[in-house]
Amino acid sequence: MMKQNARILIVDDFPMIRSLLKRCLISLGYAQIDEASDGQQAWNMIVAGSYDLVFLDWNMPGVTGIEVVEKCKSTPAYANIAIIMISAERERGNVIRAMKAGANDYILKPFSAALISEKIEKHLNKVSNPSKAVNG
Amino acid sequence: MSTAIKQDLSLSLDQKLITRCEEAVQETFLTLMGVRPRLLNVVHNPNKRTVSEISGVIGIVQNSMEGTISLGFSQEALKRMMTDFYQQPVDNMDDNLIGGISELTNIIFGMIKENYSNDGHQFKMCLPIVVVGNNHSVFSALSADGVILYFSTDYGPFTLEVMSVKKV
Repeated sequence: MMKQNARILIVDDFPMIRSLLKRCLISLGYAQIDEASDGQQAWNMIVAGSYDLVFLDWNMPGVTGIEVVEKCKSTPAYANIAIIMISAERERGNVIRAMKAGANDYILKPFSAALISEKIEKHLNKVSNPSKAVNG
Repeated sequence: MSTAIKQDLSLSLDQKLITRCEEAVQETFLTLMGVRPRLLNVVHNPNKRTVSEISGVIGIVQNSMEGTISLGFSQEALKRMMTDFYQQPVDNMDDNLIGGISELTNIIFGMIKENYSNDGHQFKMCLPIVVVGNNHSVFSALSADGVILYFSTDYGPFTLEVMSVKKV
């Protein structure tokens, strides 16, 4: 997938993290980037938009990140959106829970630009070449 | 290999804790903000509490202890740091400032907690709160042991304070 065509949603209740991620994505060449500050707003935007990838915080007021993952993955229209959880919750149990819910990846805060680059290219490549995702 | 959970162990305010706090602070500030804090001093059970203008505070809960971790700044230092981070003026006590210190505290505690979890300790993580006010201090209602780490940055000094009370 061309970077210019990829639609990415950043969801975090902290503007600092949204700002950091957006800056990072712009520096990597991505241009279609939207932001949401809570889970409900994120879900509304997912339903209204056509996102390829979502960076999703876990702990947010109201609808949590894990609830957004569950809603997406249980709705066929959105099940193929790549979801990368980002969280300060570093315990293995939480990572396992997120992956079981259907998250495609899990990034711990604080994160580096290099890690974001690696993850986004891996998952957008799968979105544009679904057979690779199936065949590994 | 799974690690046995040691719910009866309380958090000791020892050199291991200080090292883990220092590492968590430095990695968080450097990775997120591009800022390199320098640890200047460590004071155990201080007679005088730290005085800050904005603090991020997180409660620590375990079977055998309760405590807090607080990150304290002057408004001026935090505003200058956030102004550089957002690349636009941060003059007011707004979401950028409050959210910033809240998230920094959250991430630092997450890293410290992970280190102790790897040793078999189990802590519950509370949501961070932010205290704003000139010359405020964070106290424990009970008689708590405490350790204060004093850091300096190019934007000004800040502190990380850990308080711990053993449950009876």
